[in-house]
Amino acid sequence: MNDLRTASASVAKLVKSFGQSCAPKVLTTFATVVFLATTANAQQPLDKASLEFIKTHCVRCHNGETQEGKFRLDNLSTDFSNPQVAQKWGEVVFRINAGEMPPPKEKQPTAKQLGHFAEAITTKIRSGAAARMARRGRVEHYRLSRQEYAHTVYDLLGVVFDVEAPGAFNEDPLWHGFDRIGSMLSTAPSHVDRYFNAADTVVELASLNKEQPSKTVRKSADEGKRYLLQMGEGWNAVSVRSPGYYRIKIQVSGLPAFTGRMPRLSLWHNQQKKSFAGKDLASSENKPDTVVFEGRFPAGGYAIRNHARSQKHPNGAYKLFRNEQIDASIPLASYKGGFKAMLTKVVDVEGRPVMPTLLVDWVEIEGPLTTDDHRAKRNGLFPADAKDRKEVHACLKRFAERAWRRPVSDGEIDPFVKFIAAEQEAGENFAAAYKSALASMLVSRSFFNLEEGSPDEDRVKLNDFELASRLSYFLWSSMPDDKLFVAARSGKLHTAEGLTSELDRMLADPKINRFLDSFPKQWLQLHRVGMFQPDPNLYPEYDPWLEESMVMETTAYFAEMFNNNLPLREAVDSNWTMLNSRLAIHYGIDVLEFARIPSAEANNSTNKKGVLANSTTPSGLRRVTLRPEDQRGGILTHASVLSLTSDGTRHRPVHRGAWLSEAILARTPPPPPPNVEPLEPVASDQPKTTIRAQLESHRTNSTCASCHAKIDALGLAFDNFDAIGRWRDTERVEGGTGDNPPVDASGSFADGKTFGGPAEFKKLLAENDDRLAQAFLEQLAMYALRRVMTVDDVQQLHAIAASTKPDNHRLQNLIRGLVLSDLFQRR
Amino acid sequence: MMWTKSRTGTPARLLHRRARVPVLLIVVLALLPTMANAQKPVNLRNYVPKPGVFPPAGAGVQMDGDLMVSDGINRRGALRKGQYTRRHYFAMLPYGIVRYHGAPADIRDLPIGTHMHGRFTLPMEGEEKTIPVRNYNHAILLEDDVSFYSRQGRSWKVVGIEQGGGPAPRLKLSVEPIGPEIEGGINKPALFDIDDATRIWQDSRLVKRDQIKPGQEVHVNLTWGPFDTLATTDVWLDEKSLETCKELQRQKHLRLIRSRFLPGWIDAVKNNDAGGGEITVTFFGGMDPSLYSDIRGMKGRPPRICNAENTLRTWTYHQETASPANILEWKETKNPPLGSSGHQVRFKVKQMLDGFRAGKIVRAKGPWTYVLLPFDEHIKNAAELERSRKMVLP
Repeated sequence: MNDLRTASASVAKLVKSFGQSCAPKVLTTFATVVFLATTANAQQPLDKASLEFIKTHCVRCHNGETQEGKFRLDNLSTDFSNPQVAQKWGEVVFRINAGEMPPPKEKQPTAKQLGHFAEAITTKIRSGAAARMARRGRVEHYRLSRQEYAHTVYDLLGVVFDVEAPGAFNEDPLWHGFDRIGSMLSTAPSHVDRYFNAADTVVELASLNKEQPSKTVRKSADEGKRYLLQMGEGWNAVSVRSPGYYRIKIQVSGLPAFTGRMPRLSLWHNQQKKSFAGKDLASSENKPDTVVFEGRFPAGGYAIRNHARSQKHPNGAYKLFRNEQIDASIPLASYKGGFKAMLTKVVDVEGRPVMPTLLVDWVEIEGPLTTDDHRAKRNGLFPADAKDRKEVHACLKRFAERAWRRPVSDGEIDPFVKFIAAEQEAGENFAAAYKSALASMLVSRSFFNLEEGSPDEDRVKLNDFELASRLSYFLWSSMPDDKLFVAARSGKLHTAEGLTSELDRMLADPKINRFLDSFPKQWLQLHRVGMFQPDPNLYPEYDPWLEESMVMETTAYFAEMFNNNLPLREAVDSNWTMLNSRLAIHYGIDVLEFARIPSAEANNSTNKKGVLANSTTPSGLRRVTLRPEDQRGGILTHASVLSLTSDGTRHRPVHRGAWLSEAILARTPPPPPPNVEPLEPVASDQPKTTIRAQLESHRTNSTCASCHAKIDALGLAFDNFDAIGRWRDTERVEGGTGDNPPVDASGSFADGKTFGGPAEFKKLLAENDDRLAQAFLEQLAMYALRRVMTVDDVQQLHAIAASTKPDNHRLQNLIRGLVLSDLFQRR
Repeated sequence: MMWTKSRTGTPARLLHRRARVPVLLIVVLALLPTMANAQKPVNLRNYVPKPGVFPPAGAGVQMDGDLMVSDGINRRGALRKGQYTRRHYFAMLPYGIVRYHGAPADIRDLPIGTHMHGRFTLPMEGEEKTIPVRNYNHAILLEDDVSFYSRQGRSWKVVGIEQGGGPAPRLKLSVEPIGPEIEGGINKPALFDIDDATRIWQDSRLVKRDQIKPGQEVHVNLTWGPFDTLATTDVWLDEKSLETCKELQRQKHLRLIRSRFLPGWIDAVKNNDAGGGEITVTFFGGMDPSLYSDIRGMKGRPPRICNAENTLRTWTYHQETASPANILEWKETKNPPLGSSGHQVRFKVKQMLDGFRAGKIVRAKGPWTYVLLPFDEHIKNAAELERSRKMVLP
């Protein structure tokens, strides 16, 4: 009642303020709106301008009496967490954005009023959507993404299960790039079927009595020969029969091209058509490297491939670059003309390779390897005495506690023990029955879901085991390790000391690389890189290796920031980046430094070109100091980001602005109305004009102008970069007359600050690092908590940002701040 | 240069001696301005052709003889000067021009026995062992009589047909030269054997011998005759008839080049590190102009360029091994040196073939229907390449 009285008082005030000039009937209905909008607990009152907009432009027709279009706004609730209500408000925005409302005969709002109202309602709807997504029962289930499943079974049993193999698991649906948002990861019958198959395979691979013998197989070129592999060419030398942990050694010389472009040795999966390991090489013809790749490899055939460029050959499939065995005793420099002169050139007139070249001597594959670590993971999995029911029970319980990541009661294990007995009575042998029991534990919802909460209590905070899982899946994309379980079991994990201790350990663990690879890809939506393949006629330089390198630059950049605990502002503005030779070529940066064959004198000092010797990352990228004229620095000028916001033919400033708003500023702009007229190509008899100029005319439509005014400036600031992220001073325009027009990348922020181009834009953005930190924390929390942040979380996110401000919002500090916050321990 | 029954000495010596006098004269004349302007005199007679460089005017020696050996695939052959002379084996230089019936031709178009006039140089650098008999054995130009004389404004005025005497009496076509004096040609009244094997052309048809009338201006093609005389193979009584034969030969050569592609060589190469680059090609001369304009006018699909050997032989299936080549620049120079077309083109190639090197030969495919070459014409392997590099004497 108190609430109702308060609401009534608010209504009275609002009626007084808005209703003085209204006709009594309208006043009554409008008062109803406001009343309804302020009575229920879930109501989210509209701001004054929006109420004024509704009063002026909507209610006269959409009230209880006229109900134009059978649609009433006078009694429409503002409980945006209600799906039906949100749907109706969505219709309102849709009609307004589409220009249908208000009708032309009615008084027209200004573009500013339209824009404000559309955004205000969109914001409400979106926050309502977030609230709906975040609405939880007593127990929440967050299904593991398939990548998390793979990491989990590996860490649980030391088993490699190829989740991306055909027929294994479905691709996970994404929420703005994130693949781990609980409400998106539903569990359908088809999932369960695949979980059954996967569980059988995993248990079979983990069975101690079926440990596969490790073999070492070496394949060499013919006697006295070496494989000459030019770009895109491979030697199908490796066959992995079953997925597992393998060590693959390759003796190879990687000869950079005369320009410095380096060869990329790649272990290329022929069926999945992607690289599972790789390394940039610069070695001497006479002193080959022995490259070792060690890790988890799915089954299939692999090629030792020169991946420096693997674009489809212009002549089609018939004609390929060189892929042949050559005489090892003849210097490559002598391969000039002569026999096979009709094939691609090997060396130039000076005997230097014309393109990155690999000379492969042999490849050796060893595995599947079962390391002590793997055996330790399986230790105690099988009972020593099958007839000892207590031991069987204990083994099952031990496994269940690790697999389900929580304490398990005896009562939960009993059915499995009974199942084994029943199977044995039915004539099945113990081993098979036991493995079936293990497999059935892996299809339990407690395994493939993260469970948070208790069915018998309303709990706000996570318990220590739930916290351990949240932490490990956040940082390792996998289950807790033994030490984390111990910490959880001790009951001290939730304490500041306990959590800090484990956090420090986990951040230093090599498994943190899973986070350093996965989070930036999801946060920055890097899955979109290459989604629209650039037109090969317009961008013949674009190739799969460049595409991979683009993503690697961004993930390596993030890892470098993490490893050095750099301030977050360097994410948007810096004087360095992470490059390999392919990207250096793409950015027009001297590439010869990359191709220099390492010498014994090489040290860690920075040379004159800014390339750190011996400072390559695991991905093979090096930190490079940039000069102002390089026009780079910060993620916003990474080719990955600049290309993912483009289509296959041209840059898309609006998409760039929308991406920046969403990923960097954590503000998702409203979707465009349907049937937006696309920009027409410049007519052949018209002067060439930039996309920017075309957008200017596009914005004269008032329904478009409101949104574009906010989005476009963010994207136009990067107009100096084309669709694949190369710098340019003029914009190439297909068709039209005259010269290509110069780029204008100037603009202004909403607060009136102006910028002349991308450098100034980045600088202004970096100056506001509090805002950057708040937005980044929102994305980080979404990744960690597996749910969309709501307005309820904002206050805590801001508090974390405030706590990291003294140290300039350093990356590790932000992660620590989140993990140690109250928010992280809340359900 | 004409040989007569009075020639003496061994055939080889004769060949040399006959070539020497006028060539020396040319050399001296050619050297005079050169010596006046520069310090390095050019020995035109003994000029050694280099890959990528067209010889200066007047290089080499002028010779003639009947074509007795013909290797159409490798563009080689042998001329025989007279009854007792050794064969003069030769290879066409890559840019060497053959003309027959006044039109572009190939060695394969020449009937055995055709009396040919040629300009020969010493072997091109790297080709010293192509012809086992060292000599002026690389031809820049090879022409039948009608091409040789008519190109230089020469024809013949019929004096009459008369019965010859001697141990083997034959009918003789008595003619007098019309037009300028020609180096290496017959510059005085001559008697050519004529018999029922001689093709006599009038109004684009074959006619009887009785259509030859004194005072007519005619063109002739010749071959060896008994006792080292010259015999007529063809007599054209009017220009129209010659034009008909010329057109037939032109079409025949067009058919050849369209299937084998237009040859040229590479002046410059700019590799890029992605497997492609730019090449600058000068097309060889002596071809029908339509072949160059065909390539120059290509829209949409670009020309394709494959590599070739100095014999102009291509590798395997030459279209499949050819790289798409977009035209970046087309330059045309007036009065190019002998062997050059004057068309120099800069191409952007998608695939830089190993054979794309300065001085190396390429062939460009225009908008022509692709035909598979006979199996023995293209080079398939290293052994075949090696074999093709040396002429096998019969």
